Amino acid sequence: MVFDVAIAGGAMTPFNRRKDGSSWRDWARAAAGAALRDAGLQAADIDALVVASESDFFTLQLNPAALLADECGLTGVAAMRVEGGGASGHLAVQAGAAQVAAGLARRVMVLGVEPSASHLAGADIGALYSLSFDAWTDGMTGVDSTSLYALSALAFMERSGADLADFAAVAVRNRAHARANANAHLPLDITAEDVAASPVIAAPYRRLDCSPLSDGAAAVILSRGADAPGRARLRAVASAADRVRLGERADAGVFAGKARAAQRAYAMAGIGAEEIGVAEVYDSYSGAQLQGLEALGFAPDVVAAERAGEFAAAGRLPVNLSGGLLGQGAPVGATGVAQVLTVAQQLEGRYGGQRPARPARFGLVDTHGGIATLNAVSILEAP
Amino acid sequence: MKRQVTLDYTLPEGALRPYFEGLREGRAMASHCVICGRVAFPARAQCCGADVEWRALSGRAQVERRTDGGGRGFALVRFEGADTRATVGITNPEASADAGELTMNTEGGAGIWLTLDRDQKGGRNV
Repeated sequence: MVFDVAIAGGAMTPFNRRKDGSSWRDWARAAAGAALRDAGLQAADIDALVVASESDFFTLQLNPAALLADECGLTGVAAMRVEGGGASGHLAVQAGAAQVAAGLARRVMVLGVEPSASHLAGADIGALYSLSFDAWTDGMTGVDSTSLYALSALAFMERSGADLADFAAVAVRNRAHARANANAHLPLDITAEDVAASPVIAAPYRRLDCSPLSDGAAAVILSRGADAPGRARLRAVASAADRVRLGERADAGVFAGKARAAQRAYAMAGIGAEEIGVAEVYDSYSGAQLQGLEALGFAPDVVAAERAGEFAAAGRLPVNLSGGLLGQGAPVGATGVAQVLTVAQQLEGRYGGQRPARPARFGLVDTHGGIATLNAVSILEAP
Repeated sequence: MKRQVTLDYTLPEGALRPYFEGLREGRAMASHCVICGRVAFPARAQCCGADVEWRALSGRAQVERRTDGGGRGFALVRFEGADTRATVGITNPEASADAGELTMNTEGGAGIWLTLDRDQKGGRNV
């Protein structure tokens, strides 16, 4: 079967902490309307909606797919909600792409939204996030995401030789990239010293090593390639789950599920990692970006490649030019949708923020839930 | 508008009940796979597609990785006799020993808590 799916258009709201009294329904409507305009389509052209939202506890709304279809003027469409923790948005894109590829729908809107910042207190969000791991073991000790990621990062550091300066370089660079992104939550001009001076959350991670809780929405419209001339194509969609409990993994510092998803994606696209020219990688924490790049097979020695500047904007493989989660922000359901949109626009040469030094033919999107527990990897090609 | 939701869950423990009963009594009950021999703590309900047997461990654990922040400590540890590691909360994060003992969870929850060893000479945490 030929996998013929294009990103016909898309849009996102700013990712930040809303202080203007607007609601998650407002952001979803704004993203959906702007995505339709970007694709040159009307609501009546859409025949399926896939909604991504991580938790009803954030929105206090069950059955959000039906509600958002109604809110966005899509009454009558086929609708579903996809959830996979932090990977929810990206998995929703993959589910929508499957519908187009299978001929079940001609045009699918994928709409991700999350009020991760303004609707609940930060401590309550943190308590809910701790249920992203095995809630019956890790979760009930009160362990938070940062502590689990820290334990994984410590194992990675010992094996790879990565140090705090490598982590800080990622934290600084992604925030610098975000400064060119009008939608970014944390467009910061910071230094490694600022990272080292920020409060310890769970050693080795300090506050500036952590991605923020953000509000926001993003939408893309998927169609067959013939219906979207001049737009980027999805060449591969793949996912893989890993052991949920960190303690049951052969190496707590290895993102093995992500490596498996990446291998499937490269096989489906028929290309190797070396052909990827731009990537948005799931940097929930600074060290997790390096662990992710390793799993995605981008360098035999990812620490040496990082130190050589290979992942900078002018490097061999620019990573997280949007700022990533660290800089652009992380409204969970919207995160993966925005990552796909960013890479599509980079490949189309119309991305509004930082661009790679050399135009890329292939781009990779990487998203995960848990500690790389549920991994989604997609590969896009320039039109 | 303001909304407040208070939720009071009762979570039946199912096939993992021996594991959770052990935690409530301060005992480390691991699962033992009769097919591959793997001893898992925290326990698993199934291994190799079959139900597991139960095996009591000593409750002693060795710390492999540890993270601290905000006055709390968590660690990746291996309990004596287990083939898998466990993520635990540390009851005495002021201590620096690399081994400790499973501690009864006074809150009745399901988390695994480890109390790190104290210095024998000075009678204080090290």
